[in-house]
Amino acid sequence: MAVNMAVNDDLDPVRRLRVMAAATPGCVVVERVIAAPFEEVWAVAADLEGELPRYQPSVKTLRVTPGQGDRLEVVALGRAGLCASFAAVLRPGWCWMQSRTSVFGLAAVPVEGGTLLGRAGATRRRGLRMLAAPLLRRAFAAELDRFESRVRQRAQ
Amino acid sequence: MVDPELLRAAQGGDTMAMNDVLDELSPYVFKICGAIAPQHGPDAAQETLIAVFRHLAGVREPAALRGWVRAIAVREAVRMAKRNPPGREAAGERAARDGGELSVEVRDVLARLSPEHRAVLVLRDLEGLDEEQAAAVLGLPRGTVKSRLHRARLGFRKAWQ
Repeated sequence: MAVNMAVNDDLDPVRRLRVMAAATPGCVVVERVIAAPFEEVWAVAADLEGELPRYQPSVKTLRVTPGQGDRLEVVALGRAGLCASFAAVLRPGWCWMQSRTSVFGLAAVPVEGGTLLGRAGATRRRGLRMLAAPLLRRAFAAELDRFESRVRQRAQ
Repeated sequence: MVDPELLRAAQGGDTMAMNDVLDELSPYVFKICGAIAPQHGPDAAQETLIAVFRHLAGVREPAALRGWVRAIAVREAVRMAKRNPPGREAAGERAARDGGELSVEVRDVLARLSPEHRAVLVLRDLEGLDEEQAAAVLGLPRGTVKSRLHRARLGFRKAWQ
């Protein structure tokens, strides 16, 4: 007797973020449960042009050009005047971007009491990784504070 | 199979390529881990993929990637299932929560088998490996796999009735 076993499912986006972070040198992950439905949380995350400069203050403006499928090209202009081009993928619950010098990850999954949101990121400059990690952890925590405020404001 | 160029880019630290390789591998890993460790499939799949991506640079032959990933997934799922035996939660409830195409009844029956028996059933009946290949993945003699498979199928049939 052969047992018929067909299972079709996949990792949730936050677990996926942990995998990507573990495989990316110097990558930092900060997670938080936001007391709001997934749709409201992801509406903020998915609105890169409108919302990202609000919760990441080092970014002044962001321009998004749609690519094939879930691919995007993103150009970020920083407050210091520096410009960075990112290759990006954006789909419900998952955003990952990579420029020559940094990576940016955002993932969300519905959980009891709201939505688990994960923020990951790293510098791709080898010499700066060790120095950057504790700074990134603090920066991401503050970023998630602002992100949470934006979710609340949009819900009002 | 993962595109060799994509794999090379991921091995070189291109995280967009890593994202694409993860797209290819994660449903496969999730399927194996979910069948062997019904209660801890997502945790086992996460740990498997972390191990895979941390050691991805060591993969020399793209054609061997799937087999290597499968071996890690089986080992990780068996380890996690043995470390966390089923608790008070009913198998049927777990099955409903874990989702997937596998029927609740089949998941319920599988959950009553040992992790080692689930592993051999997955390799033979889900993955379609022959006894020799399954023995290589499990690190066991072929005869042991044969007898374990016989007991696993017998156990499945008894639990099903």
